[in-house]
Amino acid sequence: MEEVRIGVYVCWCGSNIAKMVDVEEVSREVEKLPGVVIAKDYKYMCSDPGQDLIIQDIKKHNLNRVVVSACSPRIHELTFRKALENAGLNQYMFEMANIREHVSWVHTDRAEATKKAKTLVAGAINRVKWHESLDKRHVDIDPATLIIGGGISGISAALEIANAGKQVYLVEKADKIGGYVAKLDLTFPHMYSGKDMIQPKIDKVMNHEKIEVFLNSMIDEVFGYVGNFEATVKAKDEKEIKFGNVIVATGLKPFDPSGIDNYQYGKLPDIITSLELEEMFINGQVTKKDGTIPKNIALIHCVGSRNTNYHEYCSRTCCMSALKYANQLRSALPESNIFNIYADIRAFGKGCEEFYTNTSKKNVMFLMYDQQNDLPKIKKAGTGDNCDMIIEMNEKLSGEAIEVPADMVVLMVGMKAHENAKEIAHAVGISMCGNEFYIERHPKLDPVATTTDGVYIVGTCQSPKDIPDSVTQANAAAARVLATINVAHMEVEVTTAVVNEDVCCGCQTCINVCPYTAISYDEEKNVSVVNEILCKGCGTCGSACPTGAIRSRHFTDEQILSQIEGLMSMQLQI
Amino acid sequence: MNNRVDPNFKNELYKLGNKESWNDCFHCGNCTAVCSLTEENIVFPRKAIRYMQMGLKDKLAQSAEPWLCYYCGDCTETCPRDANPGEIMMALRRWQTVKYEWTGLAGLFYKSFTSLIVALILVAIAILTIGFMKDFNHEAIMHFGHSLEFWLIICVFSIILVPNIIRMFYFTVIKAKVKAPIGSYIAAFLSLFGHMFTQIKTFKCDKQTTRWLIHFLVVMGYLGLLVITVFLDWFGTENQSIINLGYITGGLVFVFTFILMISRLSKNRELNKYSHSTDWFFIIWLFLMGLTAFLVRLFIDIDLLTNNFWLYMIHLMVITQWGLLLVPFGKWTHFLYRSFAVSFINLKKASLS
Amino acid sequence: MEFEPTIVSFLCNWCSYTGADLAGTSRMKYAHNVRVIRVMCSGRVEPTFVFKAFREGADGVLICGCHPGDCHYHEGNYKCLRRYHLIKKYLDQMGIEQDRLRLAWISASEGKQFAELADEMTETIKSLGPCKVKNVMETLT
Repeated sequence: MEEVRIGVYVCWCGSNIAKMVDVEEVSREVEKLPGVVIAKDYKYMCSDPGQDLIIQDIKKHNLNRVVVSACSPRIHELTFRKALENAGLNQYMFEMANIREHVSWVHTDRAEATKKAKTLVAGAINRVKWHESLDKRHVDIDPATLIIGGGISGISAALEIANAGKQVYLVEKADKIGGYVAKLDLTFPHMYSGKDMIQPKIDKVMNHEKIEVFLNSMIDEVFGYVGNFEATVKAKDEKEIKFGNVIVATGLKPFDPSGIDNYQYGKLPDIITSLELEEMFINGQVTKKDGTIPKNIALIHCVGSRNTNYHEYCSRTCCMSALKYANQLRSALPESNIFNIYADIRAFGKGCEEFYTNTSKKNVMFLMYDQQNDLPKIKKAGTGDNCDMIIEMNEKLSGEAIEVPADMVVLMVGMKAHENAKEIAHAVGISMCGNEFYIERHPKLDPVATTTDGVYIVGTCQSPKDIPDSVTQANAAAARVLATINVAHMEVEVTTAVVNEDVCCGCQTCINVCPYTAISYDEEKNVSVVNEILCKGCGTCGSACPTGAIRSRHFTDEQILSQIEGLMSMQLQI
Repeated sequence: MNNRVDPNFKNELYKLGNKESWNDCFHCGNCTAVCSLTEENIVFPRKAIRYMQMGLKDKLAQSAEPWLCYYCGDCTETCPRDANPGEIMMALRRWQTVKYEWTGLAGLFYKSFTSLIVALILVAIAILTIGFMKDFNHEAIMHFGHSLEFWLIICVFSIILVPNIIRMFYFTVIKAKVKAPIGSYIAAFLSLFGHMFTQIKTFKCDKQTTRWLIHFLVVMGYLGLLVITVFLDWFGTENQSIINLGYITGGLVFVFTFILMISRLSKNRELNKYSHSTDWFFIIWLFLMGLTAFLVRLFIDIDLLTNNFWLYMIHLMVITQWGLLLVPFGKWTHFLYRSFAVSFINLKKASLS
Repeated sequence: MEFEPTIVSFLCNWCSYTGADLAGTSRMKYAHNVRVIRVMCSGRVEPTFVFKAFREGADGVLICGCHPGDCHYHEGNYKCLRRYHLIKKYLDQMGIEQDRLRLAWISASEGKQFAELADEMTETIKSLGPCKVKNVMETLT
């Protein structure tokens, strides 16, 4: 084995790390460790000068391993790997020690934090000694794209890709495409008709020569990897399709308010959800169940949102929709009393604050409630009350317990992830966060991609969002997909498992544990064989192998055991 | 207690001078933060604005807080939403003036400019009729005028003003469930007159010294003139020092009300920017009263009144309109409500502490 | 001086490591005793890793993976769970208290839960005191 020459770089991250970790001491101490040629600390390692520092050192000191002790590898591992490539070093000869998210941001004792940082760096140094050069694998990209879900997001992405001349398979569970936008009368803040807006797009999709639409269809399991996926569309007739990328646009499910006792949904006649009101507007008449015109109309915001008993997140569109309804009701029923019972008005987005201001001038009363601890209570009115229902609430801005008369109550229900979200997540191999929305690769820097290469998430399946945000995300995903199709091939990780045939005894334990059927048995040689294309590198086979014949590349036993030693040895030294 | 929200309440306030911006306030609380007069537990203007937006009339009737505001305009200048809290407080005081007045005439005059004009004309005609009935006999009319003033004061006080103050007490103390110890009632009563004549609390507001001085001189001039004409018979007396004192008080009244009128016209400060009809009637009649009284005595002294008795007729009209309409049913009552509000609020503070 | 244990933890890349990162980005504070090693899947954690950690002087070992059903590799966490029960038995035989090893499910959104877990685990190990295997190893070598 060649002589190990490691360069260690400790990042200050401005004061993010340096405030809690004595970076200079860390750098000084680890420089003494065997194999370390040079150790430095620098303000921002990820900056261009920081990367240059590494590149220059690699050349000057003939380094063949690099450890950067900075933020989470989930953020900058690829940045530094690229720097290594630029310096002519194989990118896998690199390891990161996470001393920001796992040290400086979470600890309060500087001495202990510094000590912990040193051990983490020592672990990384030990690990990197065992790193080996790995070649990136190139895969061809199938130019077809699968889009799951035919709402505004799926439709937008489909048209972008198809208009660029690439094949799209659009799979929709319902019997028509258009999703919730097609069910909207008007949209905030400009009061365009949702139906009219999406209809031309629906027509284009249905008639596009490059788009194959599957209605009343589902997708079961997606096999393969980026560039080379395949799946079966489950419909009346099953169809096998092949595609290079997947865009998941499964959308939302409205929150069902019947579980909230205070709101009496389903128990009193004229308590309806926002979607039911939308339907009334589409049908052209807002009436009570008995056919008469309501005099007092209350819109209750945040139903099922921003409350830990239901969903903690904000559904983002209900405030503006409620204002939209206030406007629509004001024009439809000029004599009515309109009450917006809200928690906070969240009027972000272009034109939205202005919309709020204008609505507040339209004779609408705004009443604030505590959406976490103190929901309004709806009850049937008495005979002398001159209205059908009374809403009792503690109004936050005045601190008074008040009564609001109501003949119709509209519950502004929030958004949930689609009921099939979990199924789809498993089918395409992406993760969901606690509330069943899909997790993006990076919440800020890569909100369209997922951690699975070639799978993108758009629209409300990622988080509640409005139409422009959904369309933006859809178009962004389409651009990403088109870019990979354009390059036609892609580099993929090669951290797959590999079998040492000399050691393998052919027990086939690995075959049983592999979730991707990526391992087969070679009867002739009496050994297991890994199909590197199907293998996703989880390493389960490696830890199950009784003879140690299977190595998980870049997560080998030596690397991890050595890392453990490193973590602990430093501990004993101090 | 009725705690039902009332979306129509704001319409009532439009007629009392609040503009259509009732919903502009988004309750940042800057107004309360900059207010020099608000205290712990005695919070305004924000809270009163909230009651107004929600139409909680009972709550507003029970709040004496609007009367603690001297309209320095800081809140309005600070308001990020241009919701004009100062003017809303002013409109709320008008609403309370109407609310506490038991006959309903104040409500009529505050909301209908025409009705007040008609009432003023009717009073003028009545005075002319009385003059006609007395054959315009100078001595008889002046004698009548003097006793009219006296009886007006007695009647207006006992029939209108005292019951109104009792109503204010009923709403802001009894209905608001203020339970103060007896001792605090005595303290509140003792502090009443100090506030009534000095408006000492104004000094808590910044930039108010000149305004306070003008207001103080008008109050002193008005009260002096009242005493000198009604109880010391200014127009009949031979006592030179009383005559001179009368000139001074009358002069104070019309000179400084004239200044106040100019500033209302110039709209140079927040509190001058919006004037309700009742503000104008109040100040114009105060001015006319001071001026006509001054001129009547002057005409007596230079022996012109006999040939110009129309002047006294005008003066008599002005003071009758004043005493019969503008004092009991107009802005004059702020003199009482403001002073009593301080005492009632002291009771509230005592009950909370 | 109070006993400060060292806890080696293996976090799966997709859920738990991300969850621990979230604890950091949310600036939650937790005990400094937990030192993290990243693996692609909790299914990758071999018994050897656990024993190695104890041998090198760790006072506790923490394994975190995705919640059941949420594994990025479908079922690696189930594999880990089975192995975990076996390792526990074996630890007992080696004279290491079972409580020194813990398996927990931390999703990518559970930064708070990770921070709480780190504190909880540290408390447990503190109450157990230093791992005796360390001394045995020292006398042996």
